[in-house]
Formats: sequence, structure tokens, C-alpha cells
Amino acid sequence: MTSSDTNFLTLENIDLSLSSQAGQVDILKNISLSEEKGEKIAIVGPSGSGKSSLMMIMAGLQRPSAGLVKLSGCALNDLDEAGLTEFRRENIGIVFQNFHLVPTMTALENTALPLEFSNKFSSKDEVFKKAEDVLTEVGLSHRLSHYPSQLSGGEQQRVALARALVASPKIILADEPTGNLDQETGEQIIQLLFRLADQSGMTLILITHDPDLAARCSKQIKLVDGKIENTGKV
Amino acid sequence: MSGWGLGLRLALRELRGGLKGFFVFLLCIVLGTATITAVQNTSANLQAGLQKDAQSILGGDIKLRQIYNPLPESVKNYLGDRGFALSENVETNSMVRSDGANEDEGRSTLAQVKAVDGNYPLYGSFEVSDAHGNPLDQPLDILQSGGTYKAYLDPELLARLNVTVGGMIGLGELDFVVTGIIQNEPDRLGGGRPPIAPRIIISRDALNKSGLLQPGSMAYHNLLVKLDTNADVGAVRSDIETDFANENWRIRDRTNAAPSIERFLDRLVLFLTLISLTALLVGGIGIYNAVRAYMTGRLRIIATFKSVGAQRHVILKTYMIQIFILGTLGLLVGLATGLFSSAVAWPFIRELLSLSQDFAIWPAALLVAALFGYLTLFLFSAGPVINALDVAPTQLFRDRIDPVKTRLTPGYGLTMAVLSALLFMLVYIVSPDKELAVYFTVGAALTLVFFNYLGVGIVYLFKMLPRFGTGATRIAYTNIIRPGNITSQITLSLGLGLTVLVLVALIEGNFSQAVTGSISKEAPSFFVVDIQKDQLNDFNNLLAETETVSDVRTSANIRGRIKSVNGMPAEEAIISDENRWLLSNDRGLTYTSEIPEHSEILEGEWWDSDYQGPPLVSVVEDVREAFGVTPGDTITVEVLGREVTAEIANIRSVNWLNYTISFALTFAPGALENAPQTFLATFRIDPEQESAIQRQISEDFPNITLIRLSEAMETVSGILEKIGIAVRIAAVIALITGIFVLTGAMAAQNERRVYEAVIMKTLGASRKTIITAYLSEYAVLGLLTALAATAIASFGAWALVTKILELEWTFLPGTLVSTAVIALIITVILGGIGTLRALNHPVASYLRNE
Ligand SMILES: Nc1ncnc2c1ncn2[C@@H]1O[C@H](COP(=O)(O)OP(=O)(O)OP(=O)(O)O)[C@@H](O)[C@H]1O
Ligand SMILES: [Mg+2]
Repeated sequence: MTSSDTNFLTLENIDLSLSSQAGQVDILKNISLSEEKGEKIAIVGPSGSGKSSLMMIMAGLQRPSAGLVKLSGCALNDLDEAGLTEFRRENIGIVFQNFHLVPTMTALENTALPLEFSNKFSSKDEVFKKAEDVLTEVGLSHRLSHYPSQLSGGEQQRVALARALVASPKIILADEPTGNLDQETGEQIIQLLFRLADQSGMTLILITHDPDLAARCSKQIKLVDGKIENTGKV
Repeated sequence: MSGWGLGLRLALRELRGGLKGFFVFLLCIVLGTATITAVQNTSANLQAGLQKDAQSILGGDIKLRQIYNPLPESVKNYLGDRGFALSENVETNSMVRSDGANEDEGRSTLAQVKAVDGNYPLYGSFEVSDAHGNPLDQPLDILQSGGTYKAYLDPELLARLNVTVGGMIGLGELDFVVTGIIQNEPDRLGGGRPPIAPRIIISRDALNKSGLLQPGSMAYHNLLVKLDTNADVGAVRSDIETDFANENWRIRDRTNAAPSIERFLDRLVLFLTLISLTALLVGGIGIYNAVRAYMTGRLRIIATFKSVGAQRHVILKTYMIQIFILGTLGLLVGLATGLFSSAVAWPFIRELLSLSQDFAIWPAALLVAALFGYLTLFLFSAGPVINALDVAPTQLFRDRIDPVKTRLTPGYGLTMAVLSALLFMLVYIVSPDKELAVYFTVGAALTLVFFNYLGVGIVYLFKMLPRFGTGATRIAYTNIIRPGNITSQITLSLGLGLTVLVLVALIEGNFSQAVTGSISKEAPSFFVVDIQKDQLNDFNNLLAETETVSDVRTSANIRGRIKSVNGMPAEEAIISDENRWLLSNDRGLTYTSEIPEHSEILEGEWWDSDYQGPPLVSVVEDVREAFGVTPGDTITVEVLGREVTAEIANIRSVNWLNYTISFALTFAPGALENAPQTFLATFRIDPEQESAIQRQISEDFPNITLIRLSEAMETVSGILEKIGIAVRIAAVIALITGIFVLTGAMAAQNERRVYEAVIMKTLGASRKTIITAYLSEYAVLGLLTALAATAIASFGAWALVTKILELEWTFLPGTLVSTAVIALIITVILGGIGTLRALNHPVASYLRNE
């Protein structure tokens, strides 16, 4: 195991305070962690404890008030807005609880979006071929030209998953990806997510309220009131 | 990679959502660009028409004009020898009489006489019809044929005289048979006199025998020249100017056939363009509202784009391209609508000015309209798009996306500045009057800002008030100040449209007030011109014997020109172009011992009434402006070849609008008594006696011309009314656009209103309370907006009327009150419709949905 593997994701003394109408709110307090490549990490904790906030910081969508974030050898603190955008495009896939598909685009177009924004592909055909491959991978080869409103919740989340995976990111961040799905559909999504992560050796960070699901991950981080209460390997 | 291709692809995908929510947006662009297109294209057709018909409007390629006397044989021979075709005519004003069956039925009225020769017209076609509208063959041969004298009349003149074709009329000392009705006089637009009376056309021979051409009578003698097709008009003109350098003819050629008409139309078109631009700006508010609502709905998608790594500039392009596509759609419909209106209106305008130009589509006009459309579109939509780009993708982790706040970021500010500057440049370029372009831009910008902050101010003021009222009043009050209120939108959308409407109404009102308003008070009933010296006594006696005649004023009228000032030729001495009219070769001069009425001495002193001594002259302000003279300087005038040099004794200001006769140069007794002269007179008479005295004077003194002010005003008001219609249509379109904008703003509130009404109903509020609450909210805002609009418009109109038009300002409370009422009605009706819809929503269904 190389050193870059052990330090794949590093957070050092992260604080996050946001000002709201009620005044300053300390959301995250002195969070430090260091994770290896290819791990599946569950973030758990009560509602409002700061799980989503922590994930935003990892994704480079939110700058911490203090502390350092390093991902795949790159210090996110040093990047400007455009740099973060590019970094995110190349390295990070995000899956949301509410899917967040673009309603006027087909499954295929939604999936292809990250590739279209990147400069890596020279032709449109190449982009859509890749997107189609990934959609086939998530079992939606028969739904390519459907719009989100024509898809079930589980199918929508598969499209979102495909979109997160299409640019072959090094890490997948998923915030309660099954929160809006029934048990059975949710389980299918999780299995798919785990399988794809294993296949490509991606790191997976997963926020969940489901203790069983958390237990299936390689590691759990428990947040309480903005602080890490304990971390445990399974 | 520029991102345009990707932006376009994404934009097209986004537009699959359809045009929902863009109805007001499209309507605003359509109305604004349609108005500008109609104005610009019509203006281009007018210019082309005047250009195309320049020769027939002028009556030839070159026109020489002289007052009093026909042009000399020498110049006719000079031009004839070069092989050019010539035609001569004379224009003068005169009374025309008709005899009724009884003594009382005889009529007399003023007409503009044109006496033509056999070569008339050199260009264009002169068309005359018989009583049944059938064209006459060779109308000129008929006119010149021997036997009885013949005349062709305007239809209006026939009506005024109550005669028909075949009837007899009197003109000067001759009787004429009405032989035909004038259908087309090709050179009427290029005539030298304002159209205060209808036309009669006779032969030159008849005019010469009519006794109308007394020495000093105000008659224009025209010599028209038709060149060979390939002759250089400029060269011929300058040949004439060099070879007859000492003559003071007025020379005009086809490149400048009807300068005063052209100037007038330019002004009118500018005025209409500015008003339609205001309609477009009002529409801009609708565009802004629509784009902001649309972008608020797209925030989640923009955040999603960002979360998957979209560059900011690609997202910006994606939305600007969408707005461009939607805007282009509206613009194309607007251009088509504008062209259609222009095509529908053209036949009437063409008929009115008797132009031969067929309707045409002018790319330049479309370009101007499209540029205005696009600039306004982007000016008003860039802000909401730029602001929306600031959405934080972190919000995707939450259930709700907060609406983006309107913030003036540097990018936003710069975009606004550039687009505003471009818009201003465009206004500046298309505007023939640069000063007005600047006033308009500054005024429009300030008004927009003002009405935006008026809303903010109203909210602020209401917040400062102690919370007041119960029930309906309380609800209305809270609605005005509630976060997310539409107070600013109401003041903005309604305010600008109302301001233009009031502004136009006030200017128009003041203009017609200035022209027609003072008649009843001090203005004379008649102007009398061309009284010969030997007729003056008889004329005065007639007036003295007639009952109810009062305020008789007579003054000598000598025609001359300003030759030099302090010894320097006048053409070189003049320092302001605006006053070049003073250089004309038939300036009126007079002499008097007493200071004229409605004059005020600004500098120097009036002379003693028994003054005898070296020539003195009193000049009006314009002369001071034109030459920069002060009392003590000298002015030399030339009267029929004789020069008189006089010292300026004083400078007067004159109120020209009192319809008193006033001369720019008034001499002290002694200098001009022996010059050839006629007399002018004004007098007042009981309106019922006007017709009788008019008939009496024209019978006793056939050569004297009477201008009856009430009749002339009717003609002028008729013209003003036609212009007023065009201006008012443009202003009403601005207001209608405002109403659409307001409807859109209110519709956006609909869901909240329904919800509120349901809650209030559940809490036991009666229908009446809810209706009163909503209507009083709208009534208060409508009224405040109307007050502000009238205040601004009054100020603007006052500035325009007094500073630019230099007219007296009359306050017109009726206009202001009706504006306030209109505003009230609009807001209350629009508000009322929404309220009723809200009230009729069943309570149960809504709560079950919750
Ligand atoms: N923009 C903000 N300003 C102020 N406080 C905020 C802001 N965003 C989030 N918070 C607060 O930060 C805290 C952490 O929020 P976060 O969404 O990270 O919690 P969470 O653990 O993901 O909760 P859940 O399980 O309900 O999703 C909450 O108390 C929330 O109210
Ligand atoms: Mg969360």
C-alpha cells in the first residue's frame, strides 16, 4: 500500500461556522480524519449533527472556516472556484437523496452531463456512447430516452448513480441515497453502488440513518453535534 | 473551448419545457418592437417618398422664388437658352366670395390662390375631376382657354363657399366659373405657405387681371426649371447663383425640396420613436420579472450543473442563449406586427401627403428595431441570470432552494453599464436631435430608478408607521410591507407607462392650448393684410361704423432684408444658426412712434413719440441672439434696392403667442414712411358678426385678404389632431405594456393569494373583509403611483414645454385627475380579478391538499 493510498482523503482540524439570522452557528468542530483509497465509509449520526455539511466540505462545495482538506493528493484549500469545479468534475461523483436530475433532459443526457462539461472527450458520439455504457451497467439500457418524470424513483436514482459514475471518479459521495426509496428498491441501489465501487476500486462515502447499512461498510464515522464521537472499523 | 456549442445544446434541451411562464415576456417584446418597427419603417417610407417625389414636390429641379414681382426676363432667357423647360406660377392668399340666392347666403372665405401657366406642372400629374369624380381631360388647356375665367377648387373650399361645379365665385375684381375639383396638386407640399386655407387654382392671366396683385401685395412669384435628365443640378444652381449674384431670389433644388416638411416629420418620428422606446422599456420590467421567475425555477438545475462540474461561463451561456432564442421569437413576431401596422397605415399617410411611394420594407428600419429589442432584452434579463449563477450547490443537500437575492455584483454592474451605454448610443445615433436624445435617456433612466425606489420607499414608510387598523385595513397594510411584496413591481410597471401617457397628454394639451387657447381672451378676430395706402382711410371708417368692432390696430408693412450689421454683411455677422430665418429676403419691417403691445423693453429705451432725428430701430431678442448686438450698434436694411442704416435704440421681448402683429425690426418715425408699403390690421368683433364683416370687407375691398382666426385654427387643429392620434397610440401602447407587466406580476402572486384567502376564510373572515382588504391594498398603491407619475410627468412636460418648445405653461388639472382615475381603475380591476379567483377557490379542496 502506497502512502498516497493511506492519505487518499485527509481532513485536518476542520471547523465550519455559518452565520444565520440567529447569529453564528458552529456546525462542525475540529474534525480530523484520514482515509484510504477504496474504502466504504458510512457517516452516521442524528439529524442536524452535520453529516451533510461534512460531505459538502469533502466535495469542495463548501469551504471550511478553518482546517485543511486533501483529496487524492490535492489540497482543495488551494484551488479557486474554477479549479474546484474542474477537480470535482474529474474526481468526485455525488449522489443526492433527491436525485436532482434535470427534468428537461433524458436519462442519457442527464448521465452524459459531466462528460459534456469536461474537455476529455472530443466527440459527442463518444460522450453518449460512454453514458449509454454506464446506464446499461446500472440496468437502464431500455430507458435511455425517458425523461425523469417518466421514471420510477428507483430508476431515477440509478440515473443519478450513472451520472455520478460516468466520469470514472475516484470517490463517490452519497447523501442518504435511499432516503426517498422504499426498502426493496433502496436495497437494490445499495447493492449496485457497492458492486460498482468494488469493480473500480472507488472510495465510497455514504451518509445513512440505517444502522444495518452502516454496518455493511468498512468503516463508520459517527457525528454528534458537529464532532466525531467515535470511528469504528467493522 | 468556448462553451457556446455546449451552451446551445443545453439551452435547446432546457427549452423542451416549452414557453410556459414566458407569455408576458413575449408580449412585452412583441409590443415594444412592433411599435418601433412601425414608426421606423413608416419613417423610412416617408423619407423615400419625399425623395422619390422631390421633383414634383418642388415643382421642378430648381425653383426660384421672389416676392412682389415676377422673375425678370433676363433669367428666363438665360435658362431658356440653355434648353431647360420653364414654368411660372404665383401664390397668394385671397378672399373668395360666392353669392347665395339671397343677400344673407353669400359667403366669403380665405383661400390660397395659385395661378399657373400652360407648362404646369413640370413634374407629376395635375388631376382635376368634374362634380361626379370623373377626371377632366387636359385641365390646363381648359383653364387657359378664353371666354369666362375658370377656377379649380379644393373640395373643402367648395363646401365653405357652398357652391358646386358650374357655380360662380368672385375673386378680386373678377368672376370665375367653378370648372373642376382639385384631386391632385403634385407640388402642394413644397409650397411656400403654411396650409391655413384651402386651395384655388386659376390661370396667371386671370390673376393679373383680378386686381389682387397691387404693389406690395404679398405674392410669391415662382420660376420652375426642368433640367435635362443628365444635367448636374448642383452645377446649374451654382451657375445661377454666380451669374445673378446680386439678386436675392430664394433658390431651392430637388435635393432639398421640402425642408420644413422634412424637419417637421423628422421631429415627429423622433418623438414617436422615443415614446415607443418607452413602451419597450416598460416591457423591460416584464422581461425582468419573467426572467427572474424563470431563473428562480432553474436554481436547482443550475446547482446540479455546478455539482457535476459545469463551468460558470457555460451555465451563463446556456441561459443567455435561451433568452436570446425566446427573445428572437418575440422579436420576429414584433417585427412582423410592426411591418403589418406600417403597411396598413401607409395608404392613409401616402394619401394625406399625396406621395407616389409604394409601401416598402426597409432593412435599416428592421435593424434599428431589432437592435433596440435585443439591447433591452439583455439589459433587463442579464441581471437575474447573473444573480442566479450564484446559487450554492450545497443547497442540493437540503429540501428547499432559497430564492437568489438581487445583488449588484461587479459583473452585473459592468454588464448593465455596457448595455445601457450601447442603448444610449443607439438612441443618440437614430435621433436627429441629440439634445433630446440625452434628455430622454437621462429622464427615462431616472424615472425607472425612481419608480423602483418609490415601491421601496412606500414599504419603508408603511413599516415606520405604527401598526394600524383592524380587519381589512390591517390585512392590506401587512400585504404592502410583507417580505416578497409586489409593491415595487406595481409602482414600476404602472408608473412608467402612466408617466408617458400623462407627459404626452400634457404636452399635447399645452400645445393646442398655446395655439388655440388664447383666442377667446385677447386674440383678435381677424388679421387683415394687403391694405393699400389709399384704402386705409376707407377701411378704418368701415370698421369705425361697424358695431362691436374693437381693438383696431394697424401697422405699415414694408418688406426688406437685413443687409449688414455694424457694416459687416449679415450672412457673416450671424452667430446662431437657429435664427437664420432673419436673413430671409422678405422680412417684415414697420415703423411706429408708440411701443407695440405685448412688448417689454429688455435693454435701452423706447423713443419719444415725437421723435425726429437719425434712424433708430427697435429689435426683438432673436436679433440680439442672432448677431450679438446691443443698443448703439447699427443695422442696415435694404428695401427694394434702397439701404437704410439705423442705430439700435432698444431690444424688446415679444410674446408672439398673443396673435398680435409683431415685427422683428420696428423703426422710429422718419426712416421708412416713403418706402413702398401696404398695411396690416387686426381687430376684434363679436363672433356672430364675423361672417358679415368678412363678406362686407371682401366686397368693398376685393384685393384685401382677411384671415379669420377661428377658421384658421380649425384647419390647424385638424392637422394637430391627426398627429395627436399617432402620438397617443404610441403612448397607450406603453401603458398597455405596463398593464401586461402588472398582470404578470399579479399572476405570480396568485398562488399565495389563494392560500391566504383560504386561511382567512377558515379563520372566519367574511368575503367582504377579504375583498376590501385586497382592493384597498391595490387602490392605495395605484393612487400613490398615479400621484408620483403625474408629478414626474408634469415636471417633464413643464420642462419640455417651457424650455424646448418655448411655450407658455398651462396646468391641466383634468388630465391629471383622469390619469389618477385610470391608474386606480387598472390596479383595482386587475387586483379584483385575482381576488375573486382566490375567493372562489373552495376551502376544503385546498386544505385537503396540504
Ligand atoms: N446555511 C446555514 N446557515 C446556518 N446553519 C445551517 C446552514 N446550513 C445548515 N445549517 C445547520 O447546520 C446543522 C447541520 O446541518 P446538516 O444538514 O449538515 O445536518 P445533517 O446531519 O445532514 O442532518 P440530516 O440528517 O437531517 O440531513 C443543522 O443544525 C443545520 O440547521
Ligand atoms: Mg443531511
